[in-house]
Amino acid sequence: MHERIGLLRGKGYPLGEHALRYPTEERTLLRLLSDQAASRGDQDWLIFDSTDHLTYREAWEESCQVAHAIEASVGKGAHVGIFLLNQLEFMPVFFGAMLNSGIAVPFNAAARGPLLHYVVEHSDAAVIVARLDLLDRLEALEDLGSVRLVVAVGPGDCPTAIGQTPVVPWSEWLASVPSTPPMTFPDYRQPCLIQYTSGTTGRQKGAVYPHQFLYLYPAMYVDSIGITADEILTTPMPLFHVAALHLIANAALHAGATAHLKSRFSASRYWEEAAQDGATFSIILGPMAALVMKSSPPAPQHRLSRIFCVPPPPEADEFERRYNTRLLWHAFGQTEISPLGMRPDILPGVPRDTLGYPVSWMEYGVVDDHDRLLPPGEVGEIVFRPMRPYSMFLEYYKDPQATLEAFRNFMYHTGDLGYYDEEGLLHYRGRKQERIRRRGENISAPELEYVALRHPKVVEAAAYGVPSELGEEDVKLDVRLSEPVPPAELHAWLVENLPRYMVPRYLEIRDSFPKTPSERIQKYLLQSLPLDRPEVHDFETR
Amino acid sequence: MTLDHPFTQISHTGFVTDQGFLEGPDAARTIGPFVRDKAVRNGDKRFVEVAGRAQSYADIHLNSDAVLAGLQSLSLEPGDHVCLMMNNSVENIWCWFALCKGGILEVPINTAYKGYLLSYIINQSDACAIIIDADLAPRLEPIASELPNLRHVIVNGRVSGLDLPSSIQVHDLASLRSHRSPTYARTQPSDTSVILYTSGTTGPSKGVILSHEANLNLARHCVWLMGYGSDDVLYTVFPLFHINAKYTSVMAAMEANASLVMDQRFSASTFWDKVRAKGVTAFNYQGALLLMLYKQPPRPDDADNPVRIAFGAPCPADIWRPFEERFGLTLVEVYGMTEIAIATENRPGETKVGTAGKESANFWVRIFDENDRPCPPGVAGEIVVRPKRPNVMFKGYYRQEEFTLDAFRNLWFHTGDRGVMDSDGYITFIDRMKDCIRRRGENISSFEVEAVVNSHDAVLESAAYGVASDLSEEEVMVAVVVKEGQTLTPHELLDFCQTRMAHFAVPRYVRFVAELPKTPSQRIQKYLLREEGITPDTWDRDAAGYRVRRE
Repeated sequence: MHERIGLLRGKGYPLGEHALRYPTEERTLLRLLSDQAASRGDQDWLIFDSTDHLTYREAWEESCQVAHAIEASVGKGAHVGIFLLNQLEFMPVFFGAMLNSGIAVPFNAAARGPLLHYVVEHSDAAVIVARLDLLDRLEALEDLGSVRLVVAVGPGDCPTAIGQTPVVPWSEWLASVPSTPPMTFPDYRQPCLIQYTSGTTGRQKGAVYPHQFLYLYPAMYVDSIGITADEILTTPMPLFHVAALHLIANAALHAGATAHLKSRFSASRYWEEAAQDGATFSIILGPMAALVMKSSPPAPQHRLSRIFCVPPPPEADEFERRYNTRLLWHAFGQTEISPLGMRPDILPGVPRDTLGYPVSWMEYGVVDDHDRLLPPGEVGEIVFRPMRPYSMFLEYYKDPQATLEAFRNFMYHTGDLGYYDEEGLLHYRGRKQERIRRRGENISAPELEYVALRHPKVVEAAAYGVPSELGEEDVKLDVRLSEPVPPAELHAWLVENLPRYMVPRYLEIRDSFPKTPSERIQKYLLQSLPLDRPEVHDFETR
Repeated sequence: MTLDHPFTQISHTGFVTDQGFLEGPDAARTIGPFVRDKAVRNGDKRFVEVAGRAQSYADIHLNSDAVLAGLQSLSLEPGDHVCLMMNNSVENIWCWFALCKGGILEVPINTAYKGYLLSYIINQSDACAIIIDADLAPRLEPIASELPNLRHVIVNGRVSGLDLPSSIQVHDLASLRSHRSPTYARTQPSDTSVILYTSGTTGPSKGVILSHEANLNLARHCVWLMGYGSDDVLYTVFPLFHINAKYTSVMAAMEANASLVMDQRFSASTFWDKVRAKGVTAFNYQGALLLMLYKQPPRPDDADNPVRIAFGAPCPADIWRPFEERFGLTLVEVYGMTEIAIATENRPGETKVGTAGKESANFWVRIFDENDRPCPPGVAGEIVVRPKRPNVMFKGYYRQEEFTLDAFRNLWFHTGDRGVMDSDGYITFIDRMKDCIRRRGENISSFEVEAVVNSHDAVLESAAYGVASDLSEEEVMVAVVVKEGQTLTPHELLDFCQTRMAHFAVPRYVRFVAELPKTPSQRIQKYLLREEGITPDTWDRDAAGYRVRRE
């Protein structure tokens, strides 16, 4: 075995102009917003659905107002739940919580039931600012944890209470509240945000951000791809996810640019909207790009020259030709860490799994199951270790066990598989939990699903490992079909189309899948079901 | 003695690379196979002589097997936690290796512990059994009702009518040993081998979690640094409940296929006679040991001894070279702690007197300011450490996750020690930043001393702190505020302490004060007390002729 001693040192970007705008002690987005409000107050910062405008000054003043309102309602330092879509109030609540020396907690707007209850309770939110049309989700919960006030946003009749918890309308809450700015800004090392990661592995984990990390994350993107003040950014992705938050809204804040946020994604109107808004940079996901190609008419005259799109769709070249734009996909980021930034170009002749070079102040490597550092070319879990303090998440909120597990051997474990090549370039090979280990072979669940989805009748597919009596795992595939297919026929098709070691032993046809609020299949729930059910077809026993 | 187990793999000592050392590809990565492989290789060669009793490599292996079989007859299983409270003896080594082979976690306990601290560690470690020397076993009697999880007491030596509740079974180690084959656990290198309690900080003692591979790594590191070979005879007087004797003496000697002489006590007057009689080529030291040797009257044959090298810290800078010259040996000074093994080292030939050397092969070592940013050379700050490889450091403090995370912030281990680095990368240890007293190689928690002193009826409050010792490191001093209307003499206070704390923690200096200096937020300002040091009104137990019993 060739064990490496020491992680590799990043060869990518150093901290750039935007990251270094302030000395370390002053790196908070609050300070930045206050300065942008002073220098470009009348300029639009955020525009929602092309109609609702929020200038830099309005954003700053309203954030200060919200801070006062929170303090008056529940006191200093409160945790504030944000249960909103892409809308005017989102960022003022986000920064208002921090200006009150507290912590912002964005909730997934699709959350409901037990998953919503978990974050409400676990986050220790004292206030929730929620859309009026989402209040019924809160009403349906057993209790609201330590929430002492709900603020309702939007038109309509507002209830006076949910259970014992009072509800006030947004306008009433802010009426007669001053917008005087704070005397001081919070310390750059202090927690300011709990960003929950979606629960594909079960329990949701709340990544706690220090102010400097929240500041650096977007700055790294602005610096690495060179976003300027005259650009217009846009995305249909929600602000409660890190992509829209860091790479669109707060990237615009750093650059002094304007950002469009859409409350929904429309594939057919994507190019029309982008052209109307004058967008120059956008973020979409790979599957969205594929849908745009299927449903969007030819693009009108536009300025959208760069689209960040991961994973790159198989038809990336065709997309670029048809719409006269460029797709960027050399990047890697998680809720917990931002180790690469984004390249403004595509490296020539590299495979599509190429992420890029980690930044110059990052150590990185790839480890095996014993945490030994692997040599170039060998696939294992990607790990990172920043050389700068307070430049990644601090911990998982109230979950020291999960934090220590992620930090074992003083390296942050991403849960992502990959390798680095002789040049030190990182390549991505899927989530670690998506790896099925069968008789010494590693099988990628997404790869297997990709093949299964090529069957004309398969609409959805989930592959995962189940315990094998031979040790390790056997492969199980669950599918949803557009019309009935006999299981044996489907299995025969898989045998023909898959390498032998990937062929599922078990097949199950389902009407629906359990999913997280962000629409990811909860495989851990499927995995917990017994195998000796009539719906499960076993193709190895006879 | 012959071996009756079939073995296949022989481990090899590591080899040196540009960056340090690496294990050979076949090297054992857990302690069970390591002990077994060494027995196969060295067989009847003498491995160790402890307090006059000798054992070969094969003896150690087979006897630890016999102890493991005995423990397994009590249904002790892999993953169970077992305390070991024993003085240095061959039985101690058997029990230690038996636990490693069986995948049972070892919890060594300082043989000076009693009362609250003893029950705290047995409970906090989740131990279900304790192996204890017969003369120490009566210490369990007064605390037995506070030990709900303890099921077995295994006594090394003659068992004499221990008064313990019926929920605790008492066994005799000698008769428990069994010649049936034990079952070796399937242990992974990263699996925990030991939880070693250290009172390095405020609050109660912390259990440092170490893996099999971390233990082996420290032994191999030490062998590489010291250049130990199979002809070497190592010597130590340090106890087996600390990291030093376990891994840089016992397991280092084993790794080098060498021999080891161990004593239970240090004697300055007989040290060199012993060394000459046993042909000792290397020994482990700490500062007080070197000073006491140095203070012995010079003899013309001081340099006429077989020792070539000695390992340890901290050697006072002013006696460093004189000591080496007088006794004809090389001191290898390192910096480390239970949590991080050997973080810095003075490699022979590259020594800078007065420093702890440069970062060692497996670690990054830096000096940070209070914001975790590097201090420039010459500026003091906290010594912080990062591993370059997995499983070379501790995993955390047992059942102290929040405390662990604080020590791990920004993915650096914060040692709590203040130090300074020069422009060549050599690090000098300055002092402990944490509230802890370092006396003759023992870390003493101020918190634990204060807890005992404050429990005296006449005491309103107290502050324990370290003051400079003429034997290097520190002595324990306590400032006491007596309740109004009460009286207390230093003698009464020390009598009270003696029965309730380890002998080495009993304060040497007692100072009665009207009040303690405090911050506006009512925290005691110990640095002010420390600066005042040994004042004219301070009572010194040595000057007063007060004797603390060692039991």
